[in-house]
Amino acid sequence: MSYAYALLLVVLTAAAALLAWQQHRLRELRARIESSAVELQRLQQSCALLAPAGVVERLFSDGPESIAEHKVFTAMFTDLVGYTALAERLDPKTLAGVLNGYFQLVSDSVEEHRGRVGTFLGDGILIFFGALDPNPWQCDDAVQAALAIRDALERYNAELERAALPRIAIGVGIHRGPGLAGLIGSRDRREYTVVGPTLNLAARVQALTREHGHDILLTESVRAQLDPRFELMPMPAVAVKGIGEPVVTYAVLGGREERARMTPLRVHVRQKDEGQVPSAQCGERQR
Amino acid sequence: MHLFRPLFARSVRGWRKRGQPVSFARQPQGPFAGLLLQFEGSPIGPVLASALDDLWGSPILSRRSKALMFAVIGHGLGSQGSRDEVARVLEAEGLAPADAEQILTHLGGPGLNADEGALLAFARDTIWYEPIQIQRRARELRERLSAAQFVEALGVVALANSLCRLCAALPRRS
Repeated sequence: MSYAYALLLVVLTAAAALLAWQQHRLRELRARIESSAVELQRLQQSCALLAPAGVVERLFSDGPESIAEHKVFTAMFTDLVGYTALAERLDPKTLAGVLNGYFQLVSDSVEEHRGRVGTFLGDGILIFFGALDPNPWQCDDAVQAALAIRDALERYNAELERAALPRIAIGVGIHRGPGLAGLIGSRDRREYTVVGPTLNLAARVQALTREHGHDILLTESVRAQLDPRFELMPMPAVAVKGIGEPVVTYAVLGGREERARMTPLRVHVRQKDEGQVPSAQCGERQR
Repeated sequence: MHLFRPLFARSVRGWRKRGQPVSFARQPQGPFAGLLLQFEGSPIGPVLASALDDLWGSPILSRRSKALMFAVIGHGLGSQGSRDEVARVLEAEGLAPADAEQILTHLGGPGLNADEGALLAFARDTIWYEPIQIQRRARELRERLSAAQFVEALGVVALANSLCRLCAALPRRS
C-alpha cells in the first residue's frame, strides 16, 4: 500500500512539475509573441514613412509582386515658376530653406485632402488622389488641395517678404485617368508610385499655366467629375506634345464655399465680361 | 487552467449547434430591412437588426443625419446594395433624390447643414482608417456636438462600416 502511495506521490509531483514547466514555457512564449508584436508594429511604422500603410500590410502578407494594379486616379503636378531665376538670386542655404518651405506647404495641403505625394522631381511635385484606396471624391479632393496650396502659398509669400526674400509662384496641373499603381523599381530599390500617360498629361497641363496665365488648370476628365459649385473658367484648347487632340483646360477661380456665397448673377456677368464663353454655355458648364 | 482548455472544449463541443440557421426574432421592416434579409439564417442577422433598431429609435442624432452617414460610407466602399437601400431611407426622410445624389457625389450641397457636413466628413474619414485624419476630424466633431451626439456618431460609423463591408462582401440577391 505504501508503495502505491509513494507511486501516487511521484506521479503527482511529476504532474505538478510538468504543469509548472508548461506554465513557465507559456509565459516565455507569450513574452516572445508580445515582443515580436511590438517589433512588427515598429517596423510597420517605419515602413509607413516610405509607403502607405495599406501597401505595407500587403507587402508583409503577399510580397512585393502582389502590389500592382490598374487604377483610375487623379494626378496633380505642381512646379515652381521661375525657379532658375530664383536659384541665381539666392545662396544655396537660403534657396534650400525656401524650397523646403514650399515642399512642406504642398505636402501639408495635399495630406489634409487625402492626397499622397508621389515623388519630388527637382522643384516639381507629383501627387496622387485615389491611387491607393478607391476614392469616389478624388477630383473634388484634388481641387480642394490645389486651392489649399494656393492659400498656403499666399501666407508663405507674406513670410518670405518679411524676411526680404523674393515671392514664389507655382503652377498646378490636374488630370484624371488610368495608370498602373504599384511598387515600381529595380530589385534592390522600389517605391510605391503610379505610372502612365495620366501623369504626363498632368505635367503638360501644369506647363500650360504659364501660357494661360492661371495658376491652377484642370482637364475635362476632372471637370466632368467635379462638384459644380467650384468656380471654373474654360481656356482655349491648345495642342500639347504627345497628345493627338488639342487639350481643353479649365482654370480654377474659386472654391465651393466662395461659389456658394457668390450670386448666380455675379458669376454670369463675370464670365460674360471676360469674353470666355456665352452665358448659356456657362450654365451648362457649371451644371 | 489553460492546460485544461482543450478538455473543456472537447466536453462542450457536443452542446454547440453549429450550422443551425438562426432566425430573426421579428422580421426586419425598418430602414435597411432589405440588407438585413441578406443575413437571414446567420447569427449576425439578429444582432445587426437589434443594433439598427436601437440606432433608428434613438432621438439623439436625426434619422436623416444617420442615413446620410450610412450613405457616405456605403458610397465610399462601393457597396451598391447599401447605396440603393439608403436612397430609399433618405427619400422617406424627405430628401429629394437629386439632392441626395449631389450630397453623396460631392459630400456637400445646398440641403446640408453645417453639423451634417461635419458628420459626413467624419464618416468619410472612417472608411480607409487613416488614424491621423480620424483623430483630427473626431476632435473637430467633438467641439461641435454634445457628448451624447458624439458617442452616437461613433456608433453610427462603426455600425455603418460593419454593415456596408459585410454587404459589399455578399453576392447580390435578386
